[in-house]
Amino acid sequence: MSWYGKEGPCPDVVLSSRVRLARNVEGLPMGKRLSRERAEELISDTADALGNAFDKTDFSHLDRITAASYAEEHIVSTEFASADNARALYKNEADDTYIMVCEEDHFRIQSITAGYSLPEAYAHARAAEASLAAKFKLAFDDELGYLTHCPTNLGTAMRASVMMFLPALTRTNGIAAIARQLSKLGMTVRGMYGEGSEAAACLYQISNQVTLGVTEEETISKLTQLADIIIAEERKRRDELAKNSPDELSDLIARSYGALTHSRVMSCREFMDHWVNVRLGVALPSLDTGIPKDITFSVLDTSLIESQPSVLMLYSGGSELEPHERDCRRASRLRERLSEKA
Amino acid sequence: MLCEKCGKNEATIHYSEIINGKKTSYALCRDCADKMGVGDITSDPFGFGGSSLLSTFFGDMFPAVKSGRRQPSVPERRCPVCGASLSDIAADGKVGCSECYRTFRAELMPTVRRIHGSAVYKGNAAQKSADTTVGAVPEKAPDDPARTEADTLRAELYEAIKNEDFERAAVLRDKIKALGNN
Repeated sequence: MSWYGKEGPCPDVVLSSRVRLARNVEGLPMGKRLSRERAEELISDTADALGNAFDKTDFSHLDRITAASYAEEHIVSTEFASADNARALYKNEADDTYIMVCEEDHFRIQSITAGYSLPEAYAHARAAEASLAAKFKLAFDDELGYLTHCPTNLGTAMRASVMMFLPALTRTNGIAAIARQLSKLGMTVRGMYGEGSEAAACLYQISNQVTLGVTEEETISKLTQLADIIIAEERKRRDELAKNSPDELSDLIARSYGALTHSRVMSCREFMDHWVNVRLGVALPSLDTGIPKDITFSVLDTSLIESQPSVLMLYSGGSELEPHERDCRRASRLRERLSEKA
Repeated sequence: MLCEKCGKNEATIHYSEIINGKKTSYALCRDCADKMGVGDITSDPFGFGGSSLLSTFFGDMFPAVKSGRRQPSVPERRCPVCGASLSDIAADGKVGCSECYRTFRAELMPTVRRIHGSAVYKGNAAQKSADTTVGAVPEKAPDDPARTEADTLRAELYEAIKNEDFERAAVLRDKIKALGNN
């Protein structure tokens, strides 16, 4: 079960924590300079390094829908899902640590854990790195740190991030101020599932930008301090919203819950709007919304992933579906997922 | 004020970044800012980040590359491992292999400094910190002679590559490979 099927700390605000490490093999060409033959050799040597602890998925021969579904689950990057070079994904049994082989760097180690759990994600990623370091000489320089394909990642070559659900900050126009503050501190915020500057699902990824001149622990500690402040501010603004207009907010949330559990046709965009409202409703149990208690954050987060086009098509048999057909399947999947709990 | 990047349009966006306490500011027009991905917080949700800005500035780092062709009589220096030249790296915004950082160190350092400030590596390398890092295990078993021999050979390989002794490097590479297969 991936991150979204589990419930971690602070699930009302933080969906998942992620640590990604970029690593390369000393003396081996990178990117387009790596021949297919040597890429395949690297993929096979990685299997030897990881032993039985990881399962391999060969992305070179994977169908488009399955590959894209991994990106929708946030397990691989969209570039990795759609590339045409020899590449593979290694996934551990616990389904929380992943190694993309032949992404931009030779190895992109990634651990994603449920909720607010950065230290756990970091520990998993370092453990996977140690398995690789026992087999491969990883490219490293005393001054520049880990040597990466792109010089922006030199140093720790680590990106740590938390995926945050910030509906109250979004509605009260608080995101721009956060983005400004974060950029001054070497951190960045990105809207997810959004078009333009709008983050449709009120989901934001907060991550570090700086990789040189800082330790991994300092980066995680700073990110945690900032995330703590954002969590507190989001909760404060939610309480204010609930206090200032409880009837309007309860009504909005209850209508959205009705739409998610009774619709017959549901577009991705409409789903996102209702999903945000219902997730906010679960976070505000004092409101009278009629949402059953067993509709938990992990149930909703699972429905978010399952409603994405490729995951939806994969669950519906794995063949391409027209948008209208997808919207019908999405509505039906939501009814099953949410009403089985009700 | 004109855009610092294209020098043609009016600069309407003032972009500052503070990295490791060092502030760098750019005055840019909308077109150049868009090309560099500056200010759009919604882009690249899963990416490692940052490369669009970099490749734009890479061109400025190497005026010889930007201004046109080099003299045909002067062969371009290439990385002995992957064959990338400095103009290849500037065009891609990415190196061809780890050895490129050594081969073109002097030329790449100004760009690295511009991205990262004057900082040097402070993190916990797996090689250094195996015993202090949570979840990490030692890089190699101390009683594994094959590993030790392979490490010695690797060190020799890098020396050979640095000295551009490719015949010796090929022999060493094959020896390392043979050890790995045992």
